[in-house]
Amino acid sequence: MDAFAAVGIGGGNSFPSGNPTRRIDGMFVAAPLKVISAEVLDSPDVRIASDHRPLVVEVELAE
Amino acid sequence: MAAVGIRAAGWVGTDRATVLFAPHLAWRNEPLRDALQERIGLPVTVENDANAAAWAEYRFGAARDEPVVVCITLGTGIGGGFVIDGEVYRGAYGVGAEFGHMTMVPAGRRCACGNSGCWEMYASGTALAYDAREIAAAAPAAAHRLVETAAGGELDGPVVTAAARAGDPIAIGIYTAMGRWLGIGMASLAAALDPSIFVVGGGVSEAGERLLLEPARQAFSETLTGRGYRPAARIAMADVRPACRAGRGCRPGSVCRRGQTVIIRVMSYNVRSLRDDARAVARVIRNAAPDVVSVQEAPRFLRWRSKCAELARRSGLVVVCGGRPAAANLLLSTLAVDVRATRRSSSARTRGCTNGAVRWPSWPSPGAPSPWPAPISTCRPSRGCAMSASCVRTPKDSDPQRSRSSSRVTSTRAR
Repeated sequence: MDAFAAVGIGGGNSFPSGNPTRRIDGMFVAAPLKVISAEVLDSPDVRIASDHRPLVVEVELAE
Repeated sequence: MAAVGIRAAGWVGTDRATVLFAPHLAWRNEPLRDALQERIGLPVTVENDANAAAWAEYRFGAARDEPVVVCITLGTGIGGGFVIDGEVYRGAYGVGAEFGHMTMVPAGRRCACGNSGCWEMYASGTALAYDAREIAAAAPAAAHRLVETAAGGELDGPVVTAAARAGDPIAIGIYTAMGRWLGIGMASLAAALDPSIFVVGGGVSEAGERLLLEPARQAFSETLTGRGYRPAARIAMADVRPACRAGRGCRPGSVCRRGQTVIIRVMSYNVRSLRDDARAVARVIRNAAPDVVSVQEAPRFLRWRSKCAELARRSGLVVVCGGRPAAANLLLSTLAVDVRATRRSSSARTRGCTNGAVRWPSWPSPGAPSPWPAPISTCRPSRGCAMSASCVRTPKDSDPQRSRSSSRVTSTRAR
């Protein structure tokens, strides 16, 4: 399952980091896990750190 | 919505409407209730932040149904809350239970309240920063990992926490010393108030049991008056945490527990070989506080090992596997994560991948079988792991104290 497509907030574009127009970073999560949130981060540091923005996904592990 | 409750970090008057004084905010006799009521048109109640935390723990958290609860919240300072027989104790004038401003060291460190030697100058986020700066000034060589972790920024509490989680002995020592101050103060409070439980909360408490509460319990049991001849209060971690909205409430090392679940944060980040600003990359990772990071385009040319290790250290993480042999895919994690197995591959046809099976040992569920297949391969420091020095080896699977919440994280880079 594409984590961002399932629960993402915002557009999810991650490249280029200054003014992202393309969603080329993703995370695929397997069935036993539940995706809680997915977010592409932005901050002044993000814009100078790399040409991509990072994607953070929160996953709930099943017992 | 029927009413609004506001918790404020300051002395709240007996009318529950006015913040009389806030040591860390620009509020003096601030009519907070009326100002808010006017704006939102709903009944508003103002409560001291630590009193609200104590009440939340008593009603919904770690101190449910306890007769006498002392809540200590560790943040910029120390907040105190006190619940006796189901009632929040506020004192005669509403400003009681400010435990953080008990004098622990006469003529000690200056406090923002105007006094010296307050407890919170020895056990709080401010105390962490104070110790770190003192060490950096007196013994720069010993503090080099703290300075590296700060990556050009302030040497503050979160930096100490990140370095301690990455295993820096100096940062761990700062936490141990702070935990002892916490325990000594709680022993004094036990002499005065005899609570059945101490609940430790606040942002700094998210450093976890091992870094903070264990030294606190040790010092508490060594200094409690009448020890051995009286029941001692339990010391527990706060249970009520901010909601998990895009993770701002959760921090690594204290895996979020909701009912019977574990919530982890996984980051995917293409760092472009650290060709832009490597320190900014580390700051981005550290501020996002992930449990596991899948890095693409990690350093893969000259000195790739040390560059990858440096990235991990500055981010407050350790290297799990990957790097150049995995075509620049790299996995990082916190020390809260056990690494069970690692593998990496690359060939002419693929862009490479690295694969780590990890699990969360802080989640106790003895006897539960793993939902995951057996490890891919055993971890061989000499060959299996790219970086044996930072490889976190897993203990034996048969250990009943360890848990089974596990997962695999694979980093791949596609065209």
